[in-house]
Amino acid sequence: MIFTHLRRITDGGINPSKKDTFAYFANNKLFLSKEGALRDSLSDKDFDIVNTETQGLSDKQANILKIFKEHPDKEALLITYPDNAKKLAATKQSIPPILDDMAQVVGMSLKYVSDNYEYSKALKWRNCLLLSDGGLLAIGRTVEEAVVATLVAEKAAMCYFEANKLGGAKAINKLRSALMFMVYKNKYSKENIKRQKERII
Amino acid sequence: MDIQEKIRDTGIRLLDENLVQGTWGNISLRVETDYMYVTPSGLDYTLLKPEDIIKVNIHTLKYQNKGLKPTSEKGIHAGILKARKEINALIHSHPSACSVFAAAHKPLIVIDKGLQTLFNTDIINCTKYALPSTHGLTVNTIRAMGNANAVFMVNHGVMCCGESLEIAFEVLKQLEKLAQLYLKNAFAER
Repeated sequence: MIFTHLRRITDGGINPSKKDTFAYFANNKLFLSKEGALRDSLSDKDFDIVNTETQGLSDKQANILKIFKEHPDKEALLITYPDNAKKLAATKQSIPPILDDMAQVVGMSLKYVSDNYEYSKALKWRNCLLLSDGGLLAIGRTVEEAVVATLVAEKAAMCYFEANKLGGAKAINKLRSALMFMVYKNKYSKENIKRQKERII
Repeated sequence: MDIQEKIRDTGIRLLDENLVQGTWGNISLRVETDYMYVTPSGLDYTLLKPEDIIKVNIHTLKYQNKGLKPTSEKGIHAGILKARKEINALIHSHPSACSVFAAAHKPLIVIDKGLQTLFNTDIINCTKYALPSTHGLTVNTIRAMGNANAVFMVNHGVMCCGESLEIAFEVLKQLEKLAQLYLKNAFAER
């Protein structure tokens, strides 16, 4: 079922990349996709089970583990390389919320973070980040939620660029965005998350 | 086909044709004169069962409580159904190209005569902004839509309607195609 959800990213127009990363955290176990594994053909054998108790984790493993530890409601993390997010990351820009669904699921902004940035802190008010290598990081309470965050963030990046042809996108004010993010997280999506989790079980 | 099943299948079709992402968007279909069936609040179409589609009175917005709530935008659906007797179905969604117009607060001029007939207008207007699920958004959407079959909801998405669910879906699909075509041929404003 998890792999079916991941294929929705490709259906949504985001091509797989060998740099894609998929991480799943459950029962204190971190499942991390192997380097070079292609998203649309993932199977169980493409994952490493990372021993989270031992020393000597790679920087990438340690960073991902830190995100899950500091955001205990999240169980999925995706790093993908969509075209518009890559274009935006190349300019090192963050974009403000320009669509309500972006404010609800992506968060207060689609924030660009440099290599040594504190990812976990930046994810307090958002579910997506733009990485310096052009990647789009998305987290979710379920795999489906992280997939939707990825699609909505890429749509927002596309809208941001395309709206320049129409005079530019107009941002939603910060207070309203924060309100939408909180309402979505705490109220609107609850039944959906419950059903998504039941379906995985 | 059962009405609730038809609405659920339309939601799946929105996903399959990439006209929505995740839980966003909602669908309604008039039944009898004073009632509509609407999708529930905050549920992904792939998780919907036909019995999750809720019957709502368009005058009072009352519904039979089966554990799920109808879409929080039920007021917009009901308001349009009340105001326009020829309309029986509405689809609210957030497709990509329409979202560009919504983000830029720009109306779209429709030149093609066939599309003017389908949209019942020669311009797709924009609403004023209001937070989702508020009375303000209901009022702004109904006002900006007027007698047209589509309207851009600024910073949000699009609302489309038609005599049937099939026509409302066609309005949405053709509007997204038109918006894509416009953007493809537009140059960046200086």
